Amino acid sequence: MSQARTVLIIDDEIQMRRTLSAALRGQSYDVIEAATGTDGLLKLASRTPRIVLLDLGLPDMDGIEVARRIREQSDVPIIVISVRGDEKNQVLALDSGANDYITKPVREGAFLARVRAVLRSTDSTRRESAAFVVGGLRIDPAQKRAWVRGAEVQLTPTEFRLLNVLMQEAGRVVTHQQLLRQVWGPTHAREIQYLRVYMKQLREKIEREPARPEFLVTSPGVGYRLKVTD
Amino acid sequence: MSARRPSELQGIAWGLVALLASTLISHLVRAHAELTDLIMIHLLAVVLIAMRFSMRVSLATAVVSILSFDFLFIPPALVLSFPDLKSIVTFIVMIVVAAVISKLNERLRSEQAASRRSEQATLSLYRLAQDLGSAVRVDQLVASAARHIERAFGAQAHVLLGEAEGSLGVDQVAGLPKGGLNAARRAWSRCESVTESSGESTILCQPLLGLHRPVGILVLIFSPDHAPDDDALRLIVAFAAQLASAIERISLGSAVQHAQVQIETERTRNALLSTVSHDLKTPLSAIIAAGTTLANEHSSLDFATRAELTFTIVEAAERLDGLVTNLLSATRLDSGTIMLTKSVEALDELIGAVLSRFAERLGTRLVKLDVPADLPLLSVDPKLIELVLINLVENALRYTPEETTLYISARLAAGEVVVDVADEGAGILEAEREKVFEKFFRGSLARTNDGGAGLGLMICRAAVRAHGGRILAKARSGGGACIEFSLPVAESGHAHLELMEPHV
Repeated sequence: MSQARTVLIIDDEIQMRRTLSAALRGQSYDVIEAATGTDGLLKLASRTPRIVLLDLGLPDMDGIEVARRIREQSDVPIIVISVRGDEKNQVLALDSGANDYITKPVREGAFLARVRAVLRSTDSTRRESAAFVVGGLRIDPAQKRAWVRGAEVQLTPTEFRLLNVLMQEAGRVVTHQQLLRQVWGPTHAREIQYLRVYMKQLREKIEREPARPEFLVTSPGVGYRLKVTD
Repeated sequence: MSARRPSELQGIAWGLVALLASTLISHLVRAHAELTDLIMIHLLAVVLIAMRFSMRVSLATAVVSILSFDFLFIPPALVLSFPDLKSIVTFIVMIVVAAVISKLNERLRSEQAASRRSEQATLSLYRLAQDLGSAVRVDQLVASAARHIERAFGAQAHVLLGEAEGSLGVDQVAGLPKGGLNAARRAWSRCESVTESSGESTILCQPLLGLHRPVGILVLIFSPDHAPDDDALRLIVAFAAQLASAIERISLGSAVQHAQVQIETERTRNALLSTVSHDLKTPLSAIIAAGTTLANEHSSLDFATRAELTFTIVEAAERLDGLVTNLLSATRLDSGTIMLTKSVEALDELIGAVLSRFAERLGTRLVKLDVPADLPLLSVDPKLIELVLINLVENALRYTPEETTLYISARLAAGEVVVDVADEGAGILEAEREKVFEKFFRGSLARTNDGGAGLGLMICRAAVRAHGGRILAKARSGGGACIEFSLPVAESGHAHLELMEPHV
């Protein structure tokens, strides 16, 4: 059984571990620290944390490799925290099994919000519930209906599938590839303009100001994220 | 050339035809004509042959004509008699005329051939010069020279280049026969052309002589049926001279360029060092000062002071982070080796992402967006364009007071998307509107201690130019600064997708 509020931090920089630990302990999480990938994998097996925070630049192996090995044995949510800010690394990490990606320097408020979001979206008890509620959005996957701020909106089947995927993963970045695959199927994985056009339509239906979205935010070059405000 | 000159066999055939024709005509008119007239007919035939064919054929035709004339027409007919003096003179004239005409003709032909050859040579030299002039790299040069030489001489051409330390680069050419390599080495060390013939080919090594030193060796491999004549050899020397000067031009050019790049790099490094020492050290000293004060166990700070010091650290660190990010981007963009990762992007999404990043810092400022809903999608590197927008918004925030408005608008013009980012600040002096895009330049209306390093607009320009776009600074019509830049539209950006889909 995973420990309800245990966080495993895998990072070789002691200052970073110390700071993240302090922030997490302040929110009454339990923290386990590991300075290498190998040690991290060992502690993952022995302590079964609820979430893993993973740095990419580890001394013994690349963080992407650590993420792959974690995925071979566990579904534990992974948040990558890295100085590598380029979209290539982000997409690579997300497609290798990471649930979210935070670029260093880390700012406390945003960091804790992302941790909470990942925990919530991977909460198995919530997944089975019939309807999703995130902020002012509510969807009912069984009836394929959606509500914004209490009012029902009419969505096309594609718009609904798109919103549904983002709701399921609320709070974390879903890459373009993942969205295209899940909404349109594997044969359309390269047709990013579909995604752009439908995202625009979806925003027009659910955002107050589509150009400055409050729900469906863009992560340039990487994907989209349903923003969770709490 | 051999194809244009009629063969000996053809000449003999035509000689026989001419002889038969003149004999036939003479036979038909003999009743009405003098013997001298008949000789004229034969002479005409010989002249016609001499005009077209070689000396040997003409003389043979003349002699056979004389013999057949004597046999057939000079009485007693059908007997080869010794002709009278008048006929002998005519016969001698006939032979001399045949000889003179065919000689003249041959000279004319050879002059024609020579002028044709020299015309071709001029043409191929001209083409070579043209190609060599447009080449910008030595390997292009060598490839186009080899192509021209193969066309002009039917020979296989290789170029071995001299190396910096004065040796001949011999590992550059695969497929060069061993004999060729040795000959090339000899030509290189002696600085003169070397020819080597073996059973299957003739190898000619022509040194490429630059202004001060040889720059390489041109190796030509001729098959036996294309062995070069004197004209070809002269032309090859001319080719080699052109090639040598072209190679020298390019290598000198790249040396000059290299030196310029070094000077520029040196200048950048100096500017960078002075920026780093000032702009990085300022926030860093604030962090250290505040941090050490907080860390001091013996001091008794009240809660408000602690909070203030902590806030100082956060603020200074944020400034440092922005500066380091910009320095990294500037270095990456400035090295000229930027690789664009283009994808199909919507401008309003990029703007939205940037504005949400600045949500807190925008404070009481208003943002007026004017981005048409039907704007086509862009084909851009999203991270770079995000960087452009971040820098422009950052500048607007830095140079305008609170409660002013930031304007972002976009429009489609001449097949590209033009974006304006404008503010209500002090603006940019007209004289500085070009310079603001230069590295480390700070506008004179900018406060010196505002955390700017003069990199933002330089980064914007490099990023926009990497997309083939333009960027310029102008004044906003109601006062303030406006930066306008253009971006390429995605190929399928105009085509609206078929989105007719029933609602649920």
